[in-house]
Amino acid sequence: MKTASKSGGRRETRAGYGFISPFFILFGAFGLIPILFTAYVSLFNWDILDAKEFIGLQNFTDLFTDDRFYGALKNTVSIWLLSSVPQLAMALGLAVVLNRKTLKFRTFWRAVILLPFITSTVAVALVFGAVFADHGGIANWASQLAGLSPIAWHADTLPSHLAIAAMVNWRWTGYNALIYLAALQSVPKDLYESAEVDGASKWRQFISITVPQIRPTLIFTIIITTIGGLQIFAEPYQFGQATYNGGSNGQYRTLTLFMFDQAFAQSKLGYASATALVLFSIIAIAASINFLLSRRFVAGE
Amino acid sequence: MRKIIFKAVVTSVILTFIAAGFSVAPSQAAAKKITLTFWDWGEMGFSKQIKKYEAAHPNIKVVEKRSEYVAHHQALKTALASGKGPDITGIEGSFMPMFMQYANKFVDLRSYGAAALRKDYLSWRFSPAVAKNGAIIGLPTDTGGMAVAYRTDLFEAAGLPIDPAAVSALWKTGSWSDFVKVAKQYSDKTGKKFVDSTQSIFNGILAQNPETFYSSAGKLVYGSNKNVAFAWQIASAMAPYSGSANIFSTEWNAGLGDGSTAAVLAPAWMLGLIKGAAKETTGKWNIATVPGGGGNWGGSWLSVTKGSKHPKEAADLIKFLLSPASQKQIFFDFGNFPSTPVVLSDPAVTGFKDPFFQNAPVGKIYASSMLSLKPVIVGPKQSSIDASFTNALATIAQGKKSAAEAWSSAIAEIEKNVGKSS
Repeated sequence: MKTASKSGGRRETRAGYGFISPFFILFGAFGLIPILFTAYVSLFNWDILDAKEFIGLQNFTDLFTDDRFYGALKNTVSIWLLSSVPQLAMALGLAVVLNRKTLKFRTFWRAVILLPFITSTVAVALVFGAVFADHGGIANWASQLAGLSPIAWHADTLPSHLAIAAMVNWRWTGYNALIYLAALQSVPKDLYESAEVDGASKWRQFISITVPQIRPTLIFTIIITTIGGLQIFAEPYQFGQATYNGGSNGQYRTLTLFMFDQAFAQSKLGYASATALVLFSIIAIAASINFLLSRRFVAGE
Repeated sequence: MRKIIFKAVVTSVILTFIAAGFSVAPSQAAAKKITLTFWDWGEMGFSKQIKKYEAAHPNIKVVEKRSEYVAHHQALKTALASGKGPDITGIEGSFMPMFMQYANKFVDLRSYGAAALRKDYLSWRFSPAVAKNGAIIGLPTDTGGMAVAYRTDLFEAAGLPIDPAAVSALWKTGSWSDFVKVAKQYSDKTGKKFVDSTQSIFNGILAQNPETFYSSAGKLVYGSNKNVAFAWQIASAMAPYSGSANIFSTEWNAGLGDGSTAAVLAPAWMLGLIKGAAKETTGKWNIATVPGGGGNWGGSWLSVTKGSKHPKEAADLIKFLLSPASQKQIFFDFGNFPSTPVVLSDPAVTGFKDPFFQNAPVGKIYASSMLSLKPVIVGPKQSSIDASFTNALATIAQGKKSAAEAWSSAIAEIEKNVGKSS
């Protein structure tokens, strides 16, 4: 009996490794090796068609004394906060509404909410670019109707961040709402019932029951939004009419845009690789901090 | 019995089809279908000529890939590095010196008779595509030239003259400083912008001088060169009366048609772009001379990359598209001015009038300046330097920086990207 279960266990373990190996093989080939190559290239000066020139850590010292890096970092954090905090809050609110038994046409709303997610990023950026044009855009037309002066959506820093965050939120809110909805539906109903009996208000129930119960999902969405938000590229790229400048003065140039600019417009692949590594570290640190904070403040049972 | 008959019928039908297939196959195999990839950054004037070529060569199909102007050249560079370049690509004047550094990634067109074609083209349009070892890596497309296209209805509403000679006289003596005065007068009167963008003014004036960012010896002189300083001075003075969009962008296109642009610095290829972007304004434009006389802005080449699997067919197509006869037809269809001097003596060209521009004699206007055009000196980092200056000018037009601040930040950025200026 003992021998049978032992060999059965080993077979199961081996089968387990076999099942998860495809991911690690693909990750190794398309994820890990490129990262290692990027680290290697960051020690060189490299125009893609020339030979590499070894310069050690100079790319990093140049980067940390480059104003454009800190400007791009500020823009990245600003756009990330503007596009993640309202987005997740709205998504949670939407999920609560969609979860109500009294809502009519529930399936229809749940399908519609995902529509923005499946639209093409380029098409969305073109439309939002026209809406938020500095001259003759719909947003300015509407603000003028309301008696406000026109806003320079492309020329001013904060308006450009708001416009880009609007694009990102428009796309991802529905997606996150559906994830939260799935989490909400797995919360045991008797918890709410006993809270009702004890006289807790809806808001109290939300804070003390709902949020802690969906903690793993909250952590997941916060981490994913952090990783994605710090790498935003397509929206500011299209907002700037397919240029890597991020505005005439880098008003909305994110770190990824800066990286592309150095890699492809200035042909400095080593410098761009150094930027990529620094961005990778920033994302890893930010995601870890968010994970630890979420675990502490979204206290479980 | 019925089963056997049924099987026999089916078998004979199948055999008939197989036989028919065999009889058709040999003649199809003789004319192999060839697809040629063609990379460009906008309508270069070739679309109609390509259709003619495809009609005459049914086995050849051209697939165009159109990208944004700067992105096109970056994508081309990356493709060359991986050995997967397109069959045919356009290369614009500002980028040719950079690609010339990698001339060995392009097919030497001498293998396809390009040396004999040299006499058909203006020499200074031909030579930038000739490598040090004599390899010819591209054939010239069009020539820039320069004029000013203006909206007669908007000029009239602002109290300005509308006759081309009268408009040209506005800035004949005082040249660019008078141009700035007219712009101010227009904007003060109407509250609208005068020209499409500061980028156009800057590049247009640079195009009037041979030496700008690089000296004739190939050294970086962008910070000290007086032509650059002058172009900057006028472009920044024009900032309050200019749009700030990048040329070829959607916002720039919209500005051409919606009445926010009254005048455009127009090399010949700009005329086709105006017609495309502002179709509904046909007949409302005319053409005057440009301050400073002429100018040589633009001009590209078509090349075949070594990644092409059909270099002979690609070379044949290029030779067709850029022949004097084809360039003449492109001029009639799109306005791009030929780089083949033989068309100058053709009365169909010199007498050509364009109804979009109130029958302005565009043939005569651009032909008269073509022979006196001087080549402009271009270097490997031309586009990067130009982009930094252009963005800095846009910040002035957007009211974010003063001219002096914008100049300093442009110089600082160029130094980081490219290196210090002499």
